[in-house]
Amino acid sequence: MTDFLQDQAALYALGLLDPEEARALEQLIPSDPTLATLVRDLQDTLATTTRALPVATPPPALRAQLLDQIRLRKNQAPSRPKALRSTSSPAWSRLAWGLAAALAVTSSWLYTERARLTDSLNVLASNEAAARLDANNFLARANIQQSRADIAEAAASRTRQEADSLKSSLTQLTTDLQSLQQRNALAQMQIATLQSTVTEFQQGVAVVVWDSEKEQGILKLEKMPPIAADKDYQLWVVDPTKPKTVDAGIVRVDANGFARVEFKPVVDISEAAKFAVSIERKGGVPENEGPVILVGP
Amino acid sequence: MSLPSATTLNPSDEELMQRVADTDERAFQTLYDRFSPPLFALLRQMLDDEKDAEDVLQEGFLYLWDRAKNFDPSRAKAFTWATMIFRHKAIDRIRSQGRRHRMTERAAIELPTLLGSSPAQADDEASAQDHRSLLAKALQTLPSEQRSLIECAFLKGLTHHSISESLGLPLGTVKTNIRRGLIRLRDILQGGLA
Repeated sequence: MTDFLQDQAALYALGLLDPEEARALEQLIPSDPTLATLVRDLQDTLATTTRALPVATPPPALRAQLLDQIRLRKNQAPSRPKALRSTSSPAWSRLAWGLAAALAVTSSWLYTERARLTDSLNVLASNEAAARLDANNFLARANIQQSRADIAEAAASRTRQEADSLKSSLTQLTTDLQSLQQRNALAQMQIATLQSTVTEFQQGVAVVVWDSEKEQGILKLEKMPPIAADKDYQLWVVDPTKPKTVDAGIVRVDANGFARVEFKPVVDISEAAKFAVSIERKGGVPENEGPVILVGP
Repeated sequence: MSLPSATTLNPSDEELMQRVADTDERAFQTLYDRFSPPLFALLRQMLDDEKDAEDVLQEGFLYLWDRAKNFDPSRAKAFTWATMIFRHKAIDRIRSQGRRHRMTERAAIELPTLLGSSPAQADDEASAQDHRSLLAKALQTLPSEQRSLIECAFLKGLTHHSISESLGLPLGTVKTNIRRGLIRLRDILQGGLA
């Protein structure tokens, strides 16, 4: 348990917490057995301490007076008025009943009025005491509320600053992460420019972008001359770990000699050391047969 | 015919309080005889006025009569519950009479109070004397500043704010010393008086 909570428990046992603080602590007590025990122990300690004071016997008259009041309260319930003694004379009987009725009505009214006045007096006394208490506590409460408001504002301000700082750090981290991801992505990317030793194809431009992690790539061809109708350009990947070049698919250029194809070799590639383009039979072949016209890097 | 049990002959405070809740006048009288001396002593210390102490004592016992049904023995001992009630009533009286300032000044120069009482005075019962003697010893083991602050708060009904102001001590120091003193006192009493 924190020192703060122990302080509050001690002040609560002494009845020194203001009503709001006391209510807050009382809400905690049922769910915190340690706190509940501490509060109970401290209250017991204080009560026991009372017995260290020199004994003071209140005046006996006070006891008697108190017991009178207790009896009065105990017997506060209205008793039924005694019935008038009956008489044989009808006139006396009517008079007696009339008096009894009048007495009953008057008693009832007096009782009601007494109860009403007692209630009013109690309410007035209670209001007066509350007003006095409020007046005395007003300034202290105002100061406490002001202090609380200041603390709350300071805490809110600190929280806002921390949130802004965290947000800023998060943005920076995100940027850094993206940058790292980008760098990582670029690191696993391989760009190869293919060159030709054949004069007819030296005008052509061939670039391969290879993603070694995904083992796939993009080939872009430009200014490639047209080839015979029964032929196709075919792309190959040279992997030193493989005995033969690996088929990466055929490439068909348009009338302007342009092509852009995404390719994935037919088998896994451990290392794409080189890329090559050859002219093969229409539809492609599993193993290179025709002339290689472009190679790189 | 069966003999009355020990509980019937000497009911606990808690049993008496529960019987008071059932408007048992005899139980109330017994409870009054048990509780009124220490509570009256407390009220005299707090209010420093015989007449006020008598008024609050009467008011407090009437309150107990009316509210005994609210007493929960699982949450507090009967005497502890009564002490808290009477203290609150005394504090209300102090505040309603605007006596706080006067008492604050007096409290600063009239310490200590609890140890000022002689364990041997005004009591014929040896066991009660022993009890007070033990309590006095327990209080004596507390550092004087802790004891003084507890006395200011408990016996004078002063708030930690007014104690801090009156004695020129930081509020945190006042709270810490009250807490440490009370916990230490609890430990001593639980160990030595159990």
